[in-house]
Amino acid sequence: MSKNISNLSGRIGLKNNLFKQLSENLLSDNPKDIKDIAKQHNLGVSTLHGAESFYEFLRPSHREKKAFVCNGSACMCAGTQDQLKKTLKEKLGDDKVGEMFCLGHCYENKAFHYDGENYAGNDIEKIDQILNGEEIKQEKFFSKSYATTSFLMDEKLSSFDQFKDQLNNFLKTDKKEIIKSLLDSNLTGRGGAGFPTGMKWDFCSKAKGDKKYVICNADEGDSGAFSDRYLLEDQPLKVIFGMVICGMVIGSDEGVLYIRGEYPKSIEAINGCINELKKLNLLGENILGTDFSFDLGICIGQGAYICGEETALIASIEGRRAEVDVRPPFPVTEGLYKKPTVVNNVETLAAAAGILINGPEKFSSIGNKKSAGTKLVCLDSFFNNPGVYEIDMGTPMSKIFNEIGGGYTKPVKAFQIGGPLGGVIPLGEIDNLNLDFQEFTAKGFMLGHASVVSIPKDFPMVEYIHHLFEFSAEESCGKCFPGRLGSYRGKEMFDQAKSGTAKIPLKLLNELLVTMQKGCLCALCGAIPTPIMNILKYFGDEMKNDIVKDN
Amino acid sequence: MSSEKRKIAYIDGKPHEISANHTSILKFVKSYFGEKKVPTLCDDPNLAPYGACRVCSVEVALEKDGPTKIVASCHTPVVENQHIFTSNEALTSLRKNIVELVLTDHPMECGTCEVNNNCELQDVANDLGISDHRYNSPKQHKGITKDTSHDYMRMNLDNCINCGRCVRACDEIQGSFVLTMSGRGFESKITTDNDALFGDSSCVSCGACAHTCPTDAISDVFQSKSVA
Repeated sequence: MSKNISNLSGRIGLKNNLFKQLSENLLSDNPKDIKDIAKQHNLGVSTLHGAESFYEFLRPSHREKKAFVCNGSACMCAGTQDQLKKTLKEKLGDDKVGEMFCLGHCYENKAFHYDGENYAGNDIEKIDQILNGEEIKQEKFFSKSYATTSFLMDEKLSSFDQFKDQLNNFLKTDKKEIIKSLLDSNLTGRGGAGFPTGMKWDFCSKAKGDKKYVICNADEGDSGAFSDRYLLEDQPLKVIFGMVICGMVIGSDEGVLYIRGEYPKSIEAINGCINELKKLNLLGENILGTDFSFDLGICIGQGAYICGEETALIASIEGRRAEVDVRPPFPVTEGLYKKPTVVNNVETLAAAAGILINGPEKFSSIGNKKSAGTKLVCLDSFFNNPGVYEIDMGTPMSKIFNEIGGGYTKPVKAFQIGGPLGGVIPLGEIDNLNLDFQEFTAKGFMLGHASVVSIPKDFPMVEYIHHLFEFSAEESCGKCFPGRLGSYRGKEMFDQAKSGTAKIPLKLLNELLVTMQKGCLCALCGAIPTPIMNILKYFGDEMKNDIVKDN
Repeated sequence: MSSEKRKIAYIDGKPHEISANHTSILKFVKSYFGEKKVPTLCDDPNLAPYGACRVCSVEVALEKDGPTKIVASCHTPVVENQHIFTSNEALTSLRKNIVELVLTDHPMECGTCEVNNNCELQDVANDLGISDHRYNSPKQHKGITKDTSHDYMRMNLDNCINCGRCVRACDEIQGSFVLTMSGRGFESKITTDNDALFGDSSCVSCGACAHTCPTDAISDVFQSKSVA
């Protein structure tokens, strides 16, 4: 990590942050601009070039394409993307169609991105209208709460008036009481690491700093997940409310939502809300006549899954290369621009808002101490009722799949739950699992974001492992040795198996997986072995001697 | 003498006192057992802990016979009464496997290399007893043109192991942001400025990059590390 770059970038700060300047100007192609902006920051031209070259969307090979077909796990399993790609290539030209990893349309598939918008499902039938620039009517995901008390899907923060009333109420509440509520609720971070949210806010409120920040991690890149998308688009005021209250509690006057560029509608929804809240003095200087000021902005991700990791996300905003930093220091003491920072996932912030409004005891009374409250669960298109659901922690998975999800449209053999780094769970194990973070981990899986990608019976598991290695090789930040080299060598092994040029050496593969699991700096390349090891354990029989060898 | 209570932690079962300059497990172990006890590749004591190579991994337990966890020693703080294990089968296997991965993208021409017998990668690989890798036809970044455009410095990226020490020396020691990593993942590579030739770059020829380079990916024309 470079303290120098963080500090120098911090002198310009968040409003006109270096990442935004990198994203909006094609600096590597403009020798004068890159020099000017580097000079403004007292940084090197190399700093800007190094950062720009990190992002998929900023590369010439990406910019020259017009449409991008979703290559996320759910669309891949649905088998819809080859035909979609063919259709788009016929319309736009062979070299004009690229790929993007998960557009969050896992409930309908056939997802693609064109000219700043996402399309999916039957939209491709209207491709001529789309290419003509006409606005088409699009289907929305289904959403419903099955929770004892809804914290995330209710309508208690659906209007600006409600936002104002609740803010009025909580601006008068003692900060310590808010932290106590969160601690009492047993809310743990919904982004994957599961750290107690109240504790994080408490640490940051106690950390010393002349400036503090609140960051909403809206870089949901997990295939199968569209729960953050639901919150950003359908419950934006909840997410923002969580950020404002967090700002008040920790003593911060500025926050930012880092939203992935693959979610244009989410960006639009949040942007609209921020503008309106500013007009109403519910954001900005001296909110509602108090001495509390809080400003909010958006950073738009440029195609890097790793930015969902909090230290990489911070590096990204600062205009550094979005590589994972070592911990300690933790962001609560040295975060954005080296200032104390709370980084919370979208669902965590919305849940915090829901808890404060509904009361912590209602949240803690659901599930157990370590897996408390409600959780959004996303079901993909293999379910009869695909959609996003709010569900009590502790609910049996079989109930979620069979009753809420309504069973499957086609025979499935396994599920990847929790994104590309989550476990692959065979169908038969579902009956033994409840919606519970610890239970999943104890059985060698990972609940993570609770997104569900179904793997159909006829889908070869070798292909699925290849997909996982390809993903980690593509998205690895490249900093740690086992991550950078291991993910790529793993991908090569399965490239060679697919093309029939070499068999997979099982002993070496196993050593490679352990090396990545034990050695990697972060959970991207460190957790990708989890689903791969699950597949080898439960579906090893699929990999016969024609594709594997012992040594 | 400080009136504070003396704090200890255990290295391979034996107690050792933790002092104020033991800011990491690596520094703690090295201060008692010397430079070679735990191998490193991306570490340079003059630079901030970076945690990239992971060959400095050790096993730690918070109490005697407690559950252990593998951590990179360079950026993990020492905790009082912690038990640190610097070597065992799992660690040796981990370190070997990581160095093996490094060798999959290395020319392996030590005999004709300028820094033969004075190379950190060669040392670490030799100590672990590995000289080759088991991967089938791995893609390599071989044959990158040597950059000889600079009057004093040479860049030979075929030998680069992406440890980032040069980039960090340029930033942290010289305050010069001339070198950077560019690209991402397997395609990451060292470059200068906006992808300039070394000689055309804003380099001020301080030599900090060559000084810290563990191989001869960046070298100083007038201060060869050759021991031939």
